[in-house]
Amino acid sequence: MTLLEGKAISVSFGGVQALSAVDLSVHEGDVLGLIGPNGAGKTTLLNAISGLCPARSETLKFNGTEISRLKPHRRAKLGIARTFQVVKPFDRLTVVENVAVGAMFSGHKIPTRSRVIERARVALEQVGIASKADLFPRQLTLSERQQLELARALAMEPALLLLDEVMAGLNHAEIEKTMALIQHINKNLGITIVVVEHVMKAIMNVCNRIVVLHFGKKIAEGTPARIVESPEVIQAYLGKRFADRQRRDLAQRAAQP
Amino acid sequence: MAGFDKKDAGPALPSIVLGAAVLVFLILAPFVLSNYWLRVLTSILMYGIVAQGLNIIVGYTGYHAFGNSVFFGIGAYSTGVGMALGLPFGLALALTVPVAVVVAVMVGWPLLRLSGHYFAIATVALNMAMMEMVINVGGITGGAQGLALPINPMGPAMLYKIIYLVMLLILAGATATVYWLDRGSLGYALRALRDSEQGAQVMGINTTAMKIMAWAASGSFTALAGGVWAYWFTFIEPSSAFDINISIKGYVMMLMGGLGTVFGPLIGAAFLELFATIIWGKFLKIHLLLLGMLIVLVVTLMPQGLLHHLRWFKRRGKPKEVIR
Repeated sequence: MTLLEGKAISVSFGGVQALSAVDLSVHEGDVLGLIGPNGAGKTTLLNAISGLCPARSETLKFNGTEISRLKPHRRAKLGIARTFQVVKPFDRLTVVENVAVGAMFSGHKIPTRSRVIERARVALEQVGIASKADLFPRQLTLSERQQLELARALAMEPALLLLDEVMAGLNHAEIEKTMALIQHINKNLGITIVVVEHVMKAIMNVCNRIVVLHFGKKIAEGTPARIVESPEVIQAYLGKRFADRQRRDLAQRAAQP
Repeated sequence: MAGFDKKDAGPALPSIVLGAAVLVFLILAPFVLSNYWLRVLTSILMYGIVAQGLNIIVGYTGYHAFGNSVFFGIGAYSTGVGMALGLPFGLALALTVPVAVVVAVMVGWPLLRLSGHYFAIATVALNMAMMEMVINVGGITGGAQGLALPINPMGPAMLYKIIYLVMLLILAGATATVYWLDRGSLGYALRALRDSEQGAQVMGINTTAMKIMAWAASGSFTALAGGVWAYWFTFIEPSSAFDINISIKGYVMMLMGGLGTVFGPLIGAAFLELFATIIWGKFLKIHLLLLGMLIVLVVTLMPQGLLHHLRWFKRRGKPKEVIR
């Protein structure tokens, strides 16, 4: 079933066409990768979906509801959660309070204060920073702050989760952990995910479908195996050497039982 | 603010005892204090309301409504005009709330899109515009000549006691509102949008509605203070009702006491007004100089406000962050 259906999504800032007529459909259970060079319009597309930037589209339907005219908070209540590449924590609330805000105002009404806290703590457990619950965001490391973004989104118990470069600046071990976390969120919590990411290893491993943007246009869409074959994508983004290596890796993995 | 899941622990015993003592004193004050000190205390309460009103929109919501005195003037004039039209004081005063709410919603809807110093300047401009409007409308407002309110038949001694008690009641209401905000989900919505508006939006918070609501609450209390002030002074004019110094003073008090805290603005108001009175009495020629130095000292040495340093009030356990 299609969870998010966007037709001809366009965004322009003054004379700059940031997105031109991009079609996007996200199916329930997908982990959809959104890749492309810097300035391709990946974050803009996430902003258009979450309602943070004015976008035009033929349709933008979430769960069958037309959302293109809804404000960001209404979309959030319908079940769309997101993280920001440049993290936006509530600096003067503690970590657990930050996450509790997600539980408080999402579409799922949580009746009591203690349940809200309980929910927030579960989300902190899930991303692995439960021990930092009572600190303030500025006392966290960058990777912990990125996990805080993720925890806040998880506490909303969304149907669709938009991740904007949650792995940027992380080290190898942290990337492995985050990849496992994304797969856990998708498989065990049943949340459909759209990831914007430059860490190609992660994209190739966790995504079942990939959409490639270039200068605001969609230039390719398909499975990871198809994407590394696409000459346009190699030309625009991946580069030949990288694509060859990815193809080899994918083939190797396919050969293994 | 730290750790709302720990709130069952409640405030420490010393602060309960101290709070009760202060409350008893405040209730008995009009019957034991001289008229002079009652007047000082009434003005502490009045500024306490102004500071608490600012606390809602500045401390919790992060919108620096420098010109919040506009609501003080609106309250003074709507009470004054109401009484000039023959309404009793209580009714005229109560009507200031809907007037303030209407202004906050109508003006707030466009103005609250601005942020930071743009919003601050816009509120100052609003204050000036309102003052000019009252001057030029003339008629029932008295225009530039000012407006005399009906003299109360019960005599000044009784009137001052009543004025005091009404101020106390409004301040209690404002503080209860802030206390409720501090604990409840609404307060979390305000603090979330204060720290990151986009972050709050994508987490399901209707930031526009929340900001307008916060300003309406802030404006309502400020307007009530203005309304009581008008009856207290019985003669109002645009330049004293829309005096920007009222909100500047309230601002300093809020900063001194600790913004974004429930009792900080009250402590700041009491501290500054008492010291201003004492210094004014002892050093007539240089009292502003001394007061200025005092403010500089307190703000540099205690940027988090006095409340932070009064350990009794501090909720136990966690460190409080610097709030600026």
